[in-house]
Amino acid sequence: MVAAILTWLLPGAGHIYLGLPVVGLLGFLVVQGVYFLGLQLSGGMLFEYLEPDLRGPGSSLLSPEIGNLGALIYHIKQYGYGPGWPRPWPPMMELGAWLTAASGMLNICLMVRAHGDARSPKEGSSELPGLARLVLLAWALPGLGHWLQGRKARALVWFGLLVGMLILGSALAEGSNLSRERHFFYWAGQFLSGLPNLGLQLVFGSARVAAEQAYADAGLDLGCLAGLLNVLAMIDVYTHGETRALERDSTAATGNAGAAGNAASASSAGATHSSSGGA
Amino acid sequence: MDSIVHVLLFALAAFAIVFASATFHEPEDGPLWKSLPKRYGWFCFWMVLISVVMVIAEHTVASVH
Repeated sequence: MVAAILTWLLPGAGHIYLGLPVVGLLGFLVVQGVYFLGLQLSGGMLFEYLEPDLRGPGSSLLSPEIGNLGALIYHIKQYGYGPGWPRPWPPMMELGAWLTAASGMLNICLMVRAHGDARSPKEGSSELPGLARLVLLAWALPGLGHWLQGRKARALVWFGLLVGMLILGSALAEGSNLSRERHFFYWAGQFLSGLPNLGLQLVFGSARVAAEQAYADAGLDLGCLAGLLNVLAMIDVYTHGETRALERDSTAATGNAGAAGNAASASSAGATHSSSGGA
Repeated sequence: MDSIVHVLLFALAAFAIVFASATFHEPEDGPLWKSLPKRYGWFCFWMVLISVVMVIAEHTVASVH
């Protein structure tokens, strides 16, 4: 738990606390590198997307950047809500805003990794640290985590439902749901459905709203629900993998204890045998 | 037509929610698929009941004469 919280505050800190400095340094470079690249590309203007009446002390907490708390605090302290008047967005604004969000998700996976490393009996002997990779893949493509665990029927249903809802929602809202500038908080929910959301955003995210959209709200809700449900899919992947890993660790520990007991008995019997032979 | 679209969208969203819930209750695939219709039915029943209560409340309490 301490390792996970330290990672939340500063990527890599949890691993350094656990005595794994190489993983910690690598995690720090990747997670913070992605955040600060996004920060540069967006000019730190992310929270200027929010309308003035939505700018409150907790507004920024409802964004995926919350996964990388240290960087988010720096971002708010350094850039805040801007100078108070509208400014043109930088050319790579959307990519920058996506990268800072992705950094939050990457750091959540690094927290999962730190949690797994802390609970592993010995480095490299448990499957617990590898769960972070499955969680990341479950985010990137709904259903992929289940597929890699061999739960293929569930994987296909998760994929069909979540990606289908995202596509249907985007069609109903005619792409207007995919803009972070237009729907800051709903976008945060949709972002949780991973790369399908990014793909749709790249293709349809800049569509202009030229007429009334009868089902814009329904589309927005469906897209957001797909992302939020993918969090449950990620938790399902983690809990299933954790149960299996703990069972294997327990079996391995019992096996090792049994082998050690047998070796001790054999050694003791050998000593007795040689002792009686000597007599 | 509009009502039908909304009912269909509700049915889809409800199925996704019920499936997500069922995956946590049923680790094995067989019991999961078997339990889905019953779970879905109960979910829709309670949602319809809540909707009816809301409509009655709106009609009696929140209506403006």
